[in-house]
Amino acid sequence: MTLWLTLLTNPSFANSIYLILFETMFCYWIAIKYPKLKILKNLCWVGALLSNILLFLILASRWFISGYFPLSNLYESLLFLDWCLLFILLIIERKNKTKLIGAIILPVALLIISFANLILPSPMQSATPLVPALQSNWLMMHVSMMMLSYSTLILGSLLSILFLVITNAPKFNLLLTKKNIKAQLLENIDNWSYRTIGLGFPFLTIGIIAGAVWANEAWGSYWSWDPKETWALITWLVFAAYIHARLTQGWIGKKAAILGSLGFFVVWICYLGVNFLGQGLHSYGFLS
Amino acid sequence: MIKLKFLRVFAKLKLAILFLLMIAGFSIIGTIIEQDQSIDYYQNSYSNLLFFDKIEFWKLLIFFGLDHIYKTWWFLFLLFLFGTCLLSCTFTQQFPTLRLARRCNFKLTQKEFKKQPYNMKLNNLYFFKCLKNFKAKNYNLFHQKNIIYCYKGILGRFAPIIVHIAMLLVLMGNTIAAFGSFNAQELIAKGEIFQIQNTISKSFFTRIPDYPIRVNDFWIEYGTENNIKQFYSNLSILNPNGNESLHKTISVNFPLRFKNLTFYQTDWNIIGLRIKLRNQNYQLPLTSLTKVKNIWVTWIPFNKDLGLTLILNNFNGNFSLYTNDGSSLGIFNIGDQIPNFMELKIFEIIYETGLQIKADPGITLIYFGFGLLIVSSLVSYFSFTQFWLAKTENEFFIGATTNRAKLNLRFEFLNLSLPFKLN
Repeated sequence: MTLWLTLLTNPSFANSIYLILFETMFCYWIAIKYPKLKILKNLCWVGALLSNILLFLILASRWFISGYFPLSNLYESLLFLDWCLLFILLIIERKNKTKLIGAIILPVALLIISFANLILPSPMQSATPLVPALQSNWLMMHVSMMMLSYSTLILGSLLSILFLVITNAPKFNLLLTKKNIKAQLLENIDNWSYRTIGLGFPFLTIGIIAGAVWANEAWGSYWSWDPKETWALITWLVFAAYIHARLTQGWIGKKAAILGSLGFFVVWICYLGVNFLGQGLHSYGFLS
Repeated sequence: MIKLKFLRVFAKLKLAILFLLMIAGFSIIGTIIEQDQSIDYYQNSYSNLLFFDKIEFWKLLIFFGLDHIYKTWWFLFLLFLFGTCLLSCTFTQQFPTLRLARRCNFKLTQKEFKKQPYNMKLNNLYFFKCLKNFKAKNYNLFHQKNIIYCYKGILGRFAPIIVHIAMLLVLMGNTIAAFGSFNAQELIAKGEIFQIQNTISKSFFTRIPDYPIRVNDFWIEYGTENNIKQFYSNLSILNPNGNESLHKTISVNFPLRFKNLTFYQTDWNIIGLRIKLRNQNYQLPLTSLTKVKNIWVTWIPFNKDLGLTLILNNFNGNFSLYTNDGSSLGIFNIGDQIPNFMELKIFEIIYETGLQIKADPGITLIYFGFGLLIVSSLVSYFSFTQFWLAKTENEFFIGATTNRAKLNLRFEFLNLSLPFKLN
């Protein structure tokens, strides 16, 4: 048992996920070019599933060793974000035959895991005891909901970016020889983007509310305009504008995609960028 | 009617989105410029920033209140305008659609069908056969002679209205909080009785309760790695006669609620030492260093210029002593007899606990709004799908629309209608 645990928490184990994701990413890319190769499709599925299971095992063993929900520092939250992204990918793969979504998620997943394993200094990768303020059941609710919403919104806004890239790049014809196929694909991407953001938005709402309730339980103020909070609100406002523009104003296609892709940057600023701005309640202890 | 017209101006979605993005924009400024600092801070940080070689940026910053942007009148006014938008949208746009939705929405003419995003002409013979499929897919059917209306996911249509109402409740709770809430912070040494005095924020109508509160005890729990695990304060709330009316131990994340007040464990400090010198008890103050965290220093005087410097830099109750010339005497524990120094004994560290005390009359409404918001925003994901069917003497039209999941509807529409398509 202990042998397994030491193996699972070993950094080189996380590096193996890095390699699997790297391989899977190319599988997805090649699968777009050659959609009829069955073995590639299977490789994609196996790679995504395997890395998802491995990430789960790493987080579970951390949970087992430290005794608390493994989302207390940047490293763990990055791994969890990766897990969420791959999990969403697996769900979509089951319902949808397209390899396009995998082809755009995998590079992001790969970047996240390489940032977590290669750039983040090793003291920050190890689990440290929780400070009193974090010892609450709301930690689980707040952080997991936030990460889930980040991953959903990242995917949704990536699809918006993809929409813009395909419409603006005249040479984007990997398999799109006919014009009506391109139009069909664009319509699909447009609606996928909308539906994904539409799901991520309530998750973000729940995440922010869970944080507000927690803050009110811990120190008696549910909103204190801390930079992280403010950016979460900004993210919420941007996506609220996106959803209203689509639902009520009837925006589709390019106009909506521009607003959606703006959300991609806002999510990343909210998740990581705020920590460059200065210290707040949500400091990860990085770059200070 | 005039009132409604006035509201209609605010019900424009473009205006609401403009406000949303403006709030977002100003909020960004607040995260870039450090908030709630002293004027000196801004003067130093932005000393080189000039506009038109004349106007200093920090003066502008102070003038527009960018140092406390979220409390400026214009930011609050923006929030108020946004609230007005929300309110007017709910009353002038959403409630009327609710009334419309209750009416059965039949479509008759070919023109109306052509307007739908998905429409087709089907084989006249299959009009009633088609209905079975709608039933199987859990659609609600309304039938009138030769016209049919069916829909699914009506909750997805109503939920956004609930989302707006929930947000209005939260904003209302916030406004109520402005009348009658207060926030106080107290640093109280162990064993002392206090009344709430040091209020940080307080509204005009607030009456601060005056019953005495006693801090019976304060202690810190340590984890295995010498880390702080938890802070505890044992509090008694007394009535005016000095009798205990409530007694509870609080810790971070586990506050005490008494009537409308909530007591939070938020801070702590070390303020002094109790020492024994020549059989006499003394109490000495400790000062903490401003630049380094969690180091306390004091000087134990024996006479005018002879004494010991004491440094406390951990939570285990051990400390180091230095003589006048700076040489170390070693590390000692609380209760140790210090040799050679007039029977000096340090027997207690005096802690004080930092409490935050808050009353917020709006919180129930806000929590209710939060709960409503969670449920309704999730339900909003459902797509509201409508189908219309109409049969004339020799033609059979079908049309469909949805507000969200357009791709799903395409499949569903083709599924339902292709088998009956008119060739």
